[in-house]
Amino acid sequence: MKSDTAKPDGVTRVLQYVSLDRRQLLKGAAGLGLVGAAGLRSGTASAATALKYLGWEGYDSFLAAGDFGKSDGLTLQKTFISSADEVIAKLRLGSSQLDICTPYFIHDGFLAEQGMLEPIDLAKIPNFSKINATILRYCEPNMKVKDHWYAVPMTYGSICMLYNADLAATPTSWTDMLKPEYKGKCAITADYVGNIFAWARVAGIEQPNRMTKAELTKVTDLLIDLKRNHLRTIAPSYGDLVQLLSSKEVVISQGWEPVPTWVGEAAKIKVAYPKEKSMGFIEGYAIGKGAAHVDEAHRFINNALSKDGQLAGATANSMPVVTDEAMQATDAANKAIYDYDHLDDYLAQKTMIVPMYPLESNGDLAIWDNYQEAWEKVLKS
Amino acid sequence: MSSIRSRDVAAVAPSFLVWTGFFFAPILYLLVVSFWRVRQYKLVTDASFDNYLLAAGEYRHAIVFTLVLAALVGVVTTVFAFAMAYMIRFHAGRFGNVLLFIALTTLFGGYLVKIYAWKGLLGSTGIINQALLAAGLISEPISWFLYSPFAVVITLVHFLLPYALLPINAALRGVDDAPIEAARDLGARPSRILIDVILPQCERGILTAFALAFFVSAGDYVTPQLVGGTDTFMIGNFIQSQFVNRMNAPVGAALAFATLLMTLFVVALVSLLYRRILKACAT
Repeated sequence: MKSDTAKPDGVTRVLQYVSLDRRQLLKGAAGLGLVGAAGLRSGTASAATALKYLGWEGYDSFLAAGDFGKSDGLTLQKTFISSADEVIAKLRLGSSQLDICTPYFIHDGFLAEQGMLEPIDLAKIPNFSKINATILRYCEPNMKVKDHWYAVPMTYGSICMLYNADLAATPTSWTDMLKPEYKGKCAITADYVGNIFAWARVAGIEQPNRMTKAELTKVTDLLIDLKRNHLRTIAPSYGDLVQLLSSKEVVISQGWEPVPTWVGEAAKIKVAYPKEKSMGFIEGYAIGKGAAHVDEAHRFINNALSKDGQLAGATANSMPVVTDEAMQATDAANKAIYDYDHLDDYLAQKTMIVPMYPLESNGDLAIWDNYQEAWEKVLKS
Repeated sequence: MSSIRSRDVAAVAPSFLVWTGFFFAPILYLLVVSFWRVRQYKLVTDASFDNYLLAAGEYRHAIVFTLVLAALVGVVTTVFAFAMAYMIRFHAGRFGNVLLFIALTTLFGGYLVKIYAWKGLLGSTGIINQALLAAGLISEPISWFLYSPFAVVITLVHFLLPYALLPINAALRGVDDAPIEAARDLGARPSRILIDVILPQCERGILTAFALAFFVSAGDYVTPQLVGGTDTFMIGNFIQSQFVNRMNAPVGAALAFATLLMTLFVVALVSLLYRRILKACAT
């Protein structure tokens, strides 16, 4: 039976309940077995070097494109995350254990300042120069600290609106989800940062990352009303959102640009950018401080920025690319989703790239923990 | 004498290590952590009861809701499991073991598979709604089948049924036929035999089944997340959030211990009620 849902090779940013890397385990076991069988006689054979990758499933697809590293015995030992905050936790437990990771873009700065990331040696990433100038300009405030880059951008996107074009009119505002006709037919994901951003903008807050506690309370109340009186559910992952949209349980939702491709022909899902803007992000690779394979990690990251690397990620997951040559080389389907010719418009008008939220108490401003607390309050209501 | 002592120590050492490594040490560590706090994602080791006060205040409703839902799952699962075990023991004859085997094979299906199967069954376009629509019993899909407490209960009951079946089945197999036949010969009705003869002898199996279903449900966070909708966030969701999203192990640990204490209280209460009810119903 032919599936009517286009499935990405590696579904990205999808909640994982079990993260097993059996293939790598088997490869390792087979390698050990061969070494044992050879009685360690071969002085020329070199053992495979496994770099530890921690990040969203799918974000790894740029790194090893074209069987990169295979001839040198370099492999990626992947662990996928279910929450962006997991990267911080793992870096805290031992940054040297992570050769390559994908921190949430707003975390890059404070992770670097707290000494958990290696500065990127741009001389070892010649493809860095191919990154689109607009992308670089927007990610620099988050990824560059004191003249050093601590992350290398590889894709971008936004927490935008999605709607079923057959069953709903094109939304122009996040508040369209409150319309009576969509009661019980709308959904959001558990991406609380994106949710708080969206409804802060609805509340008229110019800088959602610099809210006062009173403003955050107002936003929390808006989200509570949305949750209690309008939502069908809060999708725990994009995989679940795809299912909700495919089955038409939900006709309007918060989401992410690749989702319509994943839904495929099951439903006519389209992207919309509300007038209040969507939270934009530019994602990047970073290297854990003191990692065992810093040079090799640079090589993989350089490969991710090669034309083949960029196109591999774009093809596997319908994600956008960040280098000029890849932008020109992507297929029509990818170009139809991402308007590379008007990146400034996308990053300045449709979306908004925000810096990290305050971590320490600073007058009346809400700190990061207040945002997380606010989201829990929404869930508890 | 000393060699006997050495042998004794050697004999219990593996067990001691397992108990210590897998149970006592982690629990003790989490208990200690539950009194600490986190500042900028770092543990600060100054002890206080603040986390427990938070659990009793901010999370009280989530804990109570969880206990009620888990108790409902525990009761429904135990009743269904008892009915299945009763049939296997007294009515299925030589097919009893086959039925038990069939029930246990569902364990191989996996937890997430069952959750997604119920999502498919209960959704607006799911089989159940479509069948009801086709039969003309409803005019539009019933939305509360999915993303509701009902969906959480039905999914957890289905998942936990084989586990609950095992202790009740074992207990029923231990019930001797002689007193049942004697009661029957003396003219006791089936319901009287059940209350006076069978249920008292199955107490341990029934309470074990309830406790198993109750504890697992009370600690679950995946099922409410996937089929629970907007109104069914259980305490497990908040414990997970504290550990994973907020990286606040102290609050997460305090919530876990507060929930553990409350679940132990509920199980003790149910045990007491079970005995009281049986006593009150006894002739």
